[in-house]
Amino acid sequence: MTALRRGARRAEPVWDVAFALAGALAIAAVVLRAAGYPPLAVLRGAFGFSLFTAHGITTTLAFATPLIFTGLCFLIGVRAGIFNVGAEGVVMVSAGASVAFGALLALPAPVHLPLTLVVAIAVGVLWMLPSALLKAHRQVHEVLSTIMLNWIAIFLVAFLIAYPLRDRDFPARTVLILPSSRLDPLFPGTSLTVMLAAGILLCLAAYVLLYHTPTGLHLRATGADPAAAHAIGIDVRRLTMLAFLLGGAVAGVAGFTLTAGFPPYWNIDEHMQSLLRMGFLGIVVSAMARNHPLGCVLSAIVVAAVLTSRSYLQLAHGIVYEFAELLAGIVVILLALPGISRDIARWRAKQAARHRALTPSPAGVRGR
Amino acid sequence: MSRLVAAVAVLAGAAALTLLRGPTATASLALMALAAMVPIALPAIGEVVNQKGGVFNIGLEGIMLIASVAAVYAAEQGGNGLVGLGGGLVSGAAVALLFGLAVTYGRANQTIAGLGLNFFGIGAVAFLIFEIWGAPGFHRVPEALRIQPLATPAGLLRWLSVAAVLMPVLAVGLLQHTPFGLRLRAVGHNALVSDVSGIEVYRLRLAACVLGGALAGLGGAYMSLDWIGLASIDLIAGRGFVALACVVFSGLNPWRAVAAAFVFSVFNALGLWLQVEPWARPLMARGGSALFLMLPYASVLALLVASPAREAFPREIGRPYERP
Repeated sequence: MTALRRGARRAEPVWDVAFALAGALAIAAVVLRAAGYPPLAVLRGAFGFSLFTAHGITTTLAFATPLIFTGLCFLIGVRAGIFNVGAEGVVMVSAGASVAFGALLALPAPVHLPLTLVVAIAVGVLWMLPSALLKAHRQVHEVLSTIMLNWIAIFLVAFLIAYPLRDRDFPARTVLILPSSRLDPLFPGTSLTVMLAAGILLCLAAYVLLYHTPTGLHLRATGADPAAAHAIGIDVRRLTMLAFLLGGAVAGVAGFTLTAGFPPYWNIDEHMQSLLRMGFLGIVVSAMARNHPLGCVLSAIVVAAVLTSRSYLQLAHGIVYEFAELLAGIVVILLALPGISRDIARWRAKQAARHRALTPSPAGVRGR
Repeated sequence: MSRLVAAVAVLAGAAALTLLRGPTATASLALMALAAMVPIALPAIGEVVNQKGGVFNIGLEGIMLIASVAAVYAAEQGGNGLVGLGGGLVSGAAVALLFGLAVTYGRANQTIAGLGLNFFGIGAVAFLIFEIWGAPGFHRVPEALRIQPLATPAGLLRWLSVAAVLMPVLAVGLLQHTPFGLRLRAVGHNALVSDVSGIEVYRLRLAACVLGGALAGLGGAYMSLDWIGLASIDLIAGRGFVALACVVFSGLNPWRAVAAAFVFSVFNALGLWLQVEPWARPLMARGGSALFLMLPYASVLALLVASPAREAFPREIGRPYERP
């Protein structure tokens, strides 16, 4: 009985996520219906396309790859008690750095690619540093500092695209990253690269770090109760910094993945379409994984499926690209509600109790 | 101390500009800043009320976005810009009501719910603009429906700028001199004790959320109907978050929040102003306009460094209340 109950409690997050997804799909269906689209056909077509067609599923997995990294960025922060929403800006600057380093420098292939990755990570860590310092030493709200840095990053990369990195022959995009610094697709004609495997491994590494090392324990203690963590001798400032900078590093990998690891483009387009909101969607990924690293891959695939369906929705039904954000937003809001399943269980218990009270008990048996 | 430094800096800047370019230049820069200030000051004042009750609404950006589009729709349906402003106000309040329900009765995590609201705002607005006007991305407001500003020799003075400057009077009056304000502050300070003494914690927080949402909605409506004349997914461009930064800087003093909004707006105006300077021309030819646009956001970052410590804020901020 207790084992069963423990199992049920462990499954609770799964129910919460399932409930949020179902709720979001239901609300989306109502919205679609109100706007005059056939909701069932649209939703079935969308997920059928992004999960059950060869082109769709490889695109979904390719989109999922950077989302795993930006999801981990937010996740590590949340576990340490900080809402680090700076992945967006980090993705921007490290994508810019990857293009600059991968396109403007000619190095031999075995050195060029890893060095580009290192540069992207270093730039990511550096971009996170101001927010980390402000939070650790001046208690500045991290959402605000990171959002401001996100905007600065967006304008910085807009400038890079507009002039220093612009392709003189194709003004609609930056120069291409040189072959020596490109990741080739796993299957020809797809955008899938080896970075997907790296993402899965990094999730495992994050799990080991957070749950099976002293540092991870200290990180989680800092997140659970900073005052108590401080009282037992944990250097809360140092761990806050660590959580930020680790987040910057993984988000930097996302920036690398979206440029050097994104065949057949290997560039940034004029409007940054490939980069915009990849950082923010990491929040959705982490929230849907219930902030657990092992859930990140699956939840990144779900978010990526929604992203992949955008082109189908636009071509087949004429629905705007940003419908994906609408869906994601509802999922996040529903996920923020605590223990929906717990409330439902409580409500049902109450109903059952009332039912018991109302039904006459068999003769001679009073109550329990 | 930091207040003094900021005031001296603003005055010195104004004096330098007056000496170099004449008083008209200073006046026109000030008017530009006053126009840019409204969509930050109004939401910021609403958020001060919100936070006094213990709710940190990070979804301001989303509320402003939705309201900016709803306002244009209302104006076109009603055939009048003022109807549009009203529509923005009401839609902002309505979205904030939903958020408020989630973070009070729903006991949702305020940060996550707010971030979700911002996402929802982007998606909803893109969807609405396309479904209403069949336009992908943006819709221009018909000139006849725009709120007409007052023309002065130095530039245009927008009516809501005046309202934004005077709004702190109302906010301080509400918070410090009414029973509602006292109860709200009590809820923000200690929700459990307020509950025990008979104050409806959830209902009060909900009211504060709706009030904050209404002001944020008015700010969004001002951007689309009055200042810019456009409904677009990137119309608000982070102003909701800038408003939050101003609130954090203000330590929940409405006057300080408006002052912070003005500082951001001066830098915003300065960023636009500097672009047409002769020395900026070679830079502008090389995509430099993006670099000037960074200026206001960098100034907010500096503002945050000078913000007061956490102690200035209500104890219960960000915490969902649940009866033990």
